Amino acid sequence: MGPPEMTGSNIVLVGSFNPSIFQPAWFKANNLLRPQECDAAKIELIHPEISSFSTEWLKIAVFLNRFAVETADAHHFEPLRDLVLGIFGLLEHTPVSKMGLNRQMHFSMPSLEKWHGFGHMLAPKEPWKGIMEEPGLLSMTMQDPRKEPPGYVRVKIESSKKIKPGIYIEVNNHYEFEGDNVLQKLMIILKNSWSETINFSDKIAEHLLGQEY
Amino acid sequence: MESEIFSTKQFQEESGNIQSRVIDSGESGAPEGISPFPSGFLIAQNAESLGESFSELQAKETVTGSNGHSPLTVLNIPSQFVPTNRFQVLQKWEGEIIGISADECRAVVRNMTSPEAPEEEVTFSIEEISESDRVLAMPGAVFYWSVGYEDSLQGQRTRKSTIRFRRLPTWTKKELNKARQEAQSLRDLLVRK
Repeated sequence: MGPPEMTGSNIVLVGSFNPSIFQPAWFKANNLLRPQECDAAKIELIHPEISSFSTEWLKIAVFLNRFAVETADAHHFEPLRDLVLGIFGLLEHTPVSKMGLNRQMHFSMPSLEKWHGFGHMLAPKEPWKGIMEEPGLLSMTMQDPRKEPPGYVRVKIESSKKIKPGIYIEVNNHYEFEGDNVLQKLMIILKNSWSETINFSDKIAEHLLGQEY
Repeated sequence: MESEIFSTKQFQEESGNIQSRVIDSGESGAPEGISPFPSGFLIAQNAESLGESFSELQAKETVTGSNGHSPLTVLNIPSQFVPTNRFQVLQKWEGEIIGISADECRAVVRNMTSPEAPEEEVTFSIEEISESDRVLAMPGAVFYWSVGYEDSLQGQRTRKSTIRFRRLPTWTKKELNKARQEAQSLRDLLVRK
């Protein structure tokens, strides 16, 4: 199986945010993005409760309880991480409790038979016989808890909506802490583990798609 | 407990893509547009798509909030981020500038595609750096260099090499003063009087 036809990644933080801060002008003033990118940013909404804008390579959406930044450009995975580290280096007292380091991948399947075979391998249809006429897998989510750092890895698999026939694999590396200095702990994980989580997502896809089916 | 894992509250506080809640939260009935196949997967027209962390659902949930004063639908956030081009990385390096002249940069680069590969020293023209990043090009600066294919939405494939410098937030006066104080303390400690 080759590399994904389409890929993307996002970083999500759950906590308490002030969306009004997150405007292109703020990113420009703090040297977080290229000045030209900030000037050309497409603002979707700046509101006390929601801020959402995009540039050529990223999109930021901030709600009162959620911060999310994403790119669909594999070339920018590291700049995405640096951006989040930069933002929360400045906003170091932001109360945050959870973080998701997420990856999405769309893989092309060589044939419909292989595509069906992959679905059968993940969810055999025998248990459904007699109760459903034509059972088919719509979505599967597998979760693997992690003790240290606390959280889990959740893998979701579906038929790709973008590529026919294709498989969509989404990996959610979830981290959560309680107590003091949560943001600092999460930023250390982001700094040290981002590339690792990207590579781990590749390994998961490679492992699953490399099975016999 | 399984029931906790799949409760609505839990999903609201998770860090994954929002759209997964729509699919996984056990909403009864199949989404519209499903074409069943006798085996393997179902084709779900309303299933995932790249960038669904910015779904309309999130906007609705957030702005309605728990106090219930806002109307049910007040904002229409586009459901997904649609990039104009697609970039397929063939090779990626992380580099650090070790020297710079008027025309050229010298750097040590680490292969991110094959991490086991040894570090290499490269020299490249300063013209390769975007104008907005040239101010960042100085010894010690970190950059990412990618080579790959860019596919436009019109189907045109172009081979592309891009360099992007790491941006760090501007130092505040407070941080500079703190750093100066720490430097002074170290100096006092190390320099014999």
